Amino acid sequence: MLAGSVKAEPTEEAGLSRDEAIKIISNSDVVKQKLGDLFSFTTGYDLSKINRAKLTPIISYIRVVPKRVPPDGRTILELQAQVEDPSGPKNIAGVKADLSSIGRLASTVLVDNGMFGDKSAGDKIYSTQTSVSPKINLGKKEITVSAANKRGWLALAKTQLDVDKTPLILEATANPARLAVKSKTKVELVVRVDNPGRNQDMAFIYLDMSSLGISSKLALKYVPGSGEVESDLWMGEFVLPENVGPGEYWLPLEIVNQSGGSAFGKIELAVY
Amino acid sequence: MDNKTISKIFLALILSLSVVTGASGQFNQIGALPLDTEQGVRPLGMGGAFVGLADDNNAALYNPGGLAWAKGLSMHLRDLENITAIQAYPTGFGSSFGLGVIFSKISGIPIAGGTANTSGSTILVSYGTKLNFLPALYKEEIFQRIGVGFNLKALLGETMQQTGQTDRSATGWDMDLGVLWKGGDWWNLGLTIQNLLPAKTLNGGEIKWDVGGEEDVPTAYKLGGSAKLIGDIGSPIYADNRELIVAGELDSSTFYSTLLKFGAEIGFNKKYFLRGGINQQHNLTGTIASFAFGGGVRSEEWGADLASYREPLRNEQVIGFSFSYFPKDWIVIKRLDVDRPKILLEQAIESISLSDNIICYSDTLEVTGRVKPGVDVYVNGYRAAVADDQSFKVTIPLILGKNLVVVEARFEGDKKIWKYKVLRQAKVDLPIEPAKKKNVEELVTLGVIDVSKQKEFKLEASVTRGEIATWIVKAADLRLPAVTKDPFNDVKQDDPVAPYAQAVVEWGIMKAYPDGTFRPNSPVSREEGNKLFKMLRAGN
Repeated sequence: MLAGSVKAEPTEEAGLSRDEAIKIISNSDVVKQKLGDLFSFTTGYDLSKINRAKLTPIISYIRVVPKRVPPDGRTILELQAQVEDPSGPKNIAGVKADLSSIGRLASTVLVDNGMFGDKSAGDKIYSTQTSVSPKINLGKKEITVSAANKRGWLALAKTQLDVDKTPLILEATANPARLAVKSKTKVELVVRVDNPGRNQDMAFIYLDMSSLGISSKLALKYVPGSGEVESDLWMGEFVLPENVGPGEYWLPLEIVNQSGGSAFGKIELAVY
Repeated sequence: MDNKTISKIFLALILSLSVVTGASGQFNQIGALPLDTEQGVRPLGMGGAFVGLADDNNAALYNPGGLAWAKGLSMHLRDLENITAIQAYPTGFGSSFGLGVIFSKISGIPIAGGTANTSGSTILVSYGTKLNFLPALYKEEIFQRIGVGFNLKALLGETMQQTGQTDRSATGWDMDLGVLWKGGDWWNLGLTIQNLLPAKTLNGGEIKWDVGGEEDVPTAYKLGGSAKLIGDIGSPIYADNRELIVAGELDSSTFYSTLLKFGAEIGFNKKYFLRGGINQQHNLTGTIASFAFGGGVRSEEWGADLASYREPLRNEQVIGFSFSYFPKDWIVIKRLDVDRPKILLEQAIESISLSDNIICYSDTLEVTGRVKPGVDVYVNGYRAAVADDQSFKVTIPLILGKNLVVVEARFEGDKKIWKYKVLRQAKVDLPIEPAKKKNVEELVTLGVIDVSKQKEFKLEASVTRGEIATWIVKAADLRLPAVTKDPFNDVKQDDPVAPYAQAVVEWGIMKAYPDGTFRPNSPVSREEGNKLFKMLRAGN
């Protein structure tokens, strides 16, 4: 504004002073009218007078890993929320989650201190680790995360979690899927599984080989992945017995996880 | 279920009512409707279009679905023989009980071959509730906005006298169902099915005459909507202490053809109300159009209403008057000494540090308070964090001048708003005498002058041409021109003073020098200043 940009210097000639100018302006009808309006509490208080400056923290996202968890009380569930604030990260007073829907505290604190399961301090990602109580029924559960800042404002966001015990068979194949009789070919079995909790937490994955004349069940083994992404791969292998004649064979697959959840499938094998 | 689905259900219901059948009976012969409860001075002043509004204890008479949010008791009088008393008691659990009694007497009803008189009394017992008895549904906000209710109505004895016929009296009972959906902060939809019992159900659903014979009670289907077009925050048009509610209704019955009703209510300061309506009514001659108008006054606990409306049987304009009482607390709760888990929204905020009409000098305002358990608090539209002890403390920024601080308490789909007017005045830290400081602070608050960017703002210094140009333009709210080039030889286009200097020259308030300069840093002579302020004073 002008007053800040002008260097007002007293002059030898007695000009009008700011004091006099202010007095004259204040006594003018237009300013008197404005002042009357300003100090009137009966007019002028409309919607435009509500300060809409953004005050609340912002929860950019919430993530639960894994999305499907068994109610076993031991599978670790990671809850993460990225939280920011208009006045900067130091203005965040606290981030909490209501975990009552999974049988835990209704006011669980999430931290961004690099400890207690939080990967890195000060990255605005608040975390906690928990598990689903065995007393909780299966189904979709809602988790609410709240972030409060030091000026008393609150932001809320929700996410869903699927409490489930049933493993899902994503893929069940034999490689090669077609082979010649008496070829003594080694057959590789590939099963991909989406298990609530950790994919490796299986009691067993068995393939019933009886249709091929093998009395014992073939147990598939977990193949750990490399890197941070969890592997969903289970594998096994066998050599086709010489006495197996041509035809299409469906080998029953049985999957049982450590929570007692089970799934069944079949692997197709064509012998010619 | 979303809003569209709900709308479809309402539409389907009304379409299903389009087939009506005729009915005949002794009430029909004089054009009267037995067990008709549509009384109440406020609704009648709005042309009877109240099914979609149902926001006070008259809901029991029109749409018991609205009772869930209603409280109070009213006495309506047209004369000493036409009296209605109606009351709604909140239970404290998201529901209200209603109780009403209607005494009516209409004489000289013109009928074929003479006249008829009818008099009687009707009582009704009502119950309206939110859907909190269905917790699985009630979690969803849309279901928190629905109220359902019913009326049980009994005709205790209606006497009818007709020319050339023996006097007779009738008794009977029936039932109404109502739904009110508060679809938004400013609009509602309502549906009522009146007298829905089939004849002889539990000895009801019909009128029994002492001279023998029964008469069907016509079922009526009423669909209404209302909208607060002008009103508080949440209405499409905001107006402080003004409101306009419009309501419309479609009535269909087995006794008369479909009737239309429209009404409106204008409120001032939530104290004074004017109402009007136009509606179709049924009588022996068929459907008649009529006008209604009225007014009312409300205080926190009391109300009085007056309405002029058409009484259809005699087809004459009549005047009704009512007194209402809205107790803050409820005897039924106190006597039962129920430990209420629910709350009356008016008391949702137990304490708050704000008061209305305050002046402060700070650029922020700390608002502290305490709420009832389960209540969410929003200030200026943002949610406040409520601590475990139900206290909250938020800091809101204030703009210079007028600030409206809106505090909202929300509980299970309902909300109540409190508004606080806060004037933030500028605080100027200058070593000057208080009277001068006051002038400076007022002008800074108005935005006419700004001393914040100067290290020292000396009042005794001469005011410059640039300063005076700026102050005059701001004080007089002159429109600033677009500065597309350097306006003067010594004032560049991007100089902050440029638009102000150009404005005062364009408006003829000040002159540029013949050499094309404005000389913004030159002092203003006393003579020049006086001339300028004469113009300002004269409003030129």
